[in-house]
Amino acid sequence: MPGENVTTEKPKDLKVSVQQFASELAEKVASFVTDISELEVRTYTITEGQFAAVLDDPKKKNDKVISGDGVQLRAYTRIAFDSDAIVCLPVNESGQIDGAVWDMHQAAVNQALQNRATMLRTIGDAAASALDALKKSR
Amino acid sequence: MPGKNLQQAAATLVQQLQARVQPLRADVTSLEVWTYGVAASQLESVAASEDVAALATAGASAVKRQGYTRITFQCDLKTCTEIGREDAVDATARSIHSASVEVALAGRATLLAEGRQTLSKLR
Repeated sequence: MPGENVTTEKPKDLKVSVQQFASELAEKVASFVTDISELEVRTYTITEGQFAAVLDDPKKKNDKVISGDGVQLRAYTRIAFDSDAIVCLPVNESGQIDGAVWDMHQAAVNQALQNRATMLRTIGDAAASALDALKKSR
Repeated sequence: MPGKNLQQAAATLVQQLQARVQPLRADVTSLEVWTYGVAASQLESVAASEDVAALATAGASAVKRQGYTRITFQCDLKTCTEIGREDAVDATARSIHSASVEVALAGRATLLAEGRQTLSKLR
């Protein structure tokens, strides 16, 4: 009877899906725990007219560092997991820190820190759910 | 066996997260922030360096430390209180460095709160 197939197959499919989800989540967590160890923010300026040529190159889509004609790194921040921070800024010809892009860079650092905290919460929630499912499955 | 794989995946997931978040407790007793002025042409290579501090202390002319702050904390299971602060900041870098310290402090507080919640969820 068609109805019997539905009632027996669905739980099996669900179980396989949950197993697959948990496995994928475990892989994501493995890369996440590595990724959150250190947070880096780079702020670049790009010469007008070069923007598309630099950013639309499909070969460079996943590059951590941007390079190309007219590209210049203007500010760099590295924040360890315990929040120790290194900030590097260019100095101008008179030896003074050039803070021209500072506000923009600072906003990006703030956003990155918030995103890291949100990701930690999200992954924590997912892990807690997995733990709960694990307990229930025993 | 699907059930066994699911249990293994979930257990791995929880262990990995605990292993990363647990050390936060040991690392939270101090916060250090460094601000460096770098020759514009060298900024890319300095950013790629594993140890920026070593470049500055080695006397590399392209890298100059312009701000340093170390804040120490007394922490218990729930709160951390600032108990000491030392600064060495060039006047020209003061506003930028101070802003970075404030951002690092705020980020630290947020991460600690999230870390505590995550650990409590995983117990």
